[in-house]
Amino acid sequence: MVLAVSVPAFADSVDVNQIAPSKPLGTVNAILIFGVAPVGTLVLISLIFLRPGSAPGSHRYRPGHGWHADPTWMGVPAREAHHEHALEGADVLEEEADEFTHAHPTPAVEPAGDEVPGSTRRQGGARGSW
Amino acid sequence: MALGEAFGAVERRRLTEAIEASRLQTGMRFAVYVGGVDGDIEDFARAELTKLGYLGSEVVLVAVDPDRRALQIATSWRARHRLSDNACGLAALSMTTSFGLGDLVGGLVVGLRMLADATVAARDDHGRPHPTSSTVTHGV
Repeated sequence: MVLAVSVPAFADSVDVNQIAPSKPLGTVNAILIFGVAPVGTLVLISLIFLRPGSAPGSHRYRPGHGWHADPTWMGVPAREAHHEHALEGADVLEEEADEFTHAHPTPAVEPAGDEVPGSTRRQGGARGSW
Repeated sequence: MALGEAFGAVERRRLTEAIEASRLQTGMRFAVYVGGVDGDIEDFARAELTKLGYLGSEVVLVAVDPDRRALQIATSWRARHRLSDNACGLAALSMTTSFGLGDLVGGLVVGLRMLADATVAARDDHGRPHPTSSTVTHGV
């Protein structure tokens, strides 16, 4: 602001006749500077932000547009460990389920969550869709 | 061919914190799966839950198939005694509402919190609150 106000004061100290005439800008240079450069910059910026996987939340879920990402597990220490201990874990759940059955006789009518046969008996939960 | 990460770093951190908070609040283990499922999602969730037995006897698995718009909450038989199916249904309803609006992570975070809040405090053989659980029961 201060500079903008003070610039006219320097006008008197500059001899306009001493300023060498500038070379006219060629057509090619004009196209490069005023055409290609701005358009190229816009294209570059667009590519950076529109490229899949570049921006945060680019895999944001949009209902009806499918889901194009790798399956993800969370809360499980490691997928490898998951496989390694899978059989052992199944045995633990089976043993505890048997203990519980002895302590608490199964009622005549079981809830819906108990209908799955085999090792998944007595599991609970709920399902939903959108 | 790899399709890419499902969540960014911030989203992953939010989910991790929600899972850890639920674990600390209830003493139960929570696992989340987001991805495609072959066959029925309920069968998938129950089969995977059985494999997660090494995490402990009280495990809750939240499986989401965004492509098929399907959600399944599965609780192990012991976790089911502290987290009722009705409570799971309410959490599922909340989650699917958020999913329908495109907020996958937000729905999971809120759903996990609801599941933790609805979990009844663990009790020992004498009916006393279990020392590893600090759950506040909300009477679902």
